[in-house]
Amino acid sequence: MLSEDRRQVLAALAALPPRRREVLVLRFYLELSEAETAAVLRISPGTVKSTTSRGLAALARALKETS
Amino acid sequence: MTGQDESTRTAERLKDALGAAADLMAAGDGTVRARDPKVRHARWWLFPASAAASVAAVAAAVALVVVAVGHPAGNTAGRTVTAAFFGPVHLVNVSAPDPAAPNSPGVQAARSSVVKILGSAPECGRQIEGSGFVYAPQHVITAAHDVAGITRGQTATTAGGVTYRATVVFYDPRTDIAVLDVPGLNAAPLRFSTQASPSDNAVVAGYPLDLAFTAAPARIAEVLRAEGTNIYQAGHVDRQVYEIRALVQPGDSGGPLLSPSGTVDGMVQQVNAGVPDTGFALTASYIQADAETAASATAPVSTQGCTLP
Repeated sequence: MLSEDRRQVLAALAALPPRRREVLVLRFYLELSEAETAAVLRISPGTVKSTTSRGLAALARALKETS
Repeated sequence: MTGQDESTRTAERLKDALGAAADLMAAGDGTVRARDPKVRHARWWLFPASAAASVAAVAAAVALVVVAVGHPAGNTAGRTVTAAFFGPVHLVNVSAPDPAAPNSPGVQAARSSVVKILGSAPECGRQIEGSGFVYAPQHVITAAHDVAGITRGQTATTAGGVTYRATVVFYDPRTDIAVLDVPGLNAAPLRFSTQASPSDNAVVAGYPLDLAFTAAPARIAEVLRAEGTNIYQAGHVDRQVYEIRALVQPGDSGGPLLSPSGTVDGMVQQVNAGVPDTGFALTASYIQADAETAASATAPVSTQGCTLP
């Protein structure tokens, strides 16, 4: 079973807007580079970078609220 | 803690959680090995170990492989991946099912209308067991993959242990629905209900793991359009499913997802969602057309061939 902590992380991830979720999954699950992520999603590497940092910040906020 | 530290820490937590979920998905994979562990998970999904053809998972896995190998399949593929792949994760937002749901009078009354399906496919050296339920007089509906390729000894057994001979009179590998004519089985037909909505309590009723009748608490998470294939993993099929938080086990497929009042919200599917207490059920609305077509059919039809092992 998934621990409660991991569940919360996945739930927070699932609650993110699709684009942020996509970027985070490609970066941290598939471990694609910023350039690869940009190519897959057809967005600029700059957008990948900013979406990643905003996505992580949103995730951190959501996790603070739940814990 | 600085913003940068926090980001790094959040990223680590995320990697850990995604990795743990992926490990769960890969559990049970004893056959397929590929160098890239993520591709391995995806392949496992493509060729699930259970007899059931997966629905959402197959489409997701195809897209996942595409992403993993960096194939420039385009924007759409990338989007589908995460949406479909992580659809199941939504479930963690749904509260746990009510453990008392299986004790409701409606569910208890439905018990005698839920049957165990068993048959053998000698050509494939296989026996297939699953669950089904009476939905019209002497007619049982189940999953097509529960009867795929069966040529001998098709039976339906009640919770009370009475076994009846059954004949497949409707078989649709696309929708994954089959109907059995079971002369002599006089259990009351269950009624479909299309009223279920997210967060509703429900019950997975069936005969998991060759056990006696089992009713397990469930909760509806959401309604999804599951992109997948037919049960032979060919073509493209969109199904309407409920994602449920419940322990769905082998043998449950084809059984009813019951509402606490005993009506049928959907048909349970044996699909590995990657999270242990996540399952899927075809919605009642999705099933109804096939069900009506076959409600009084008596002519035997072919069950074609076995699904991939």
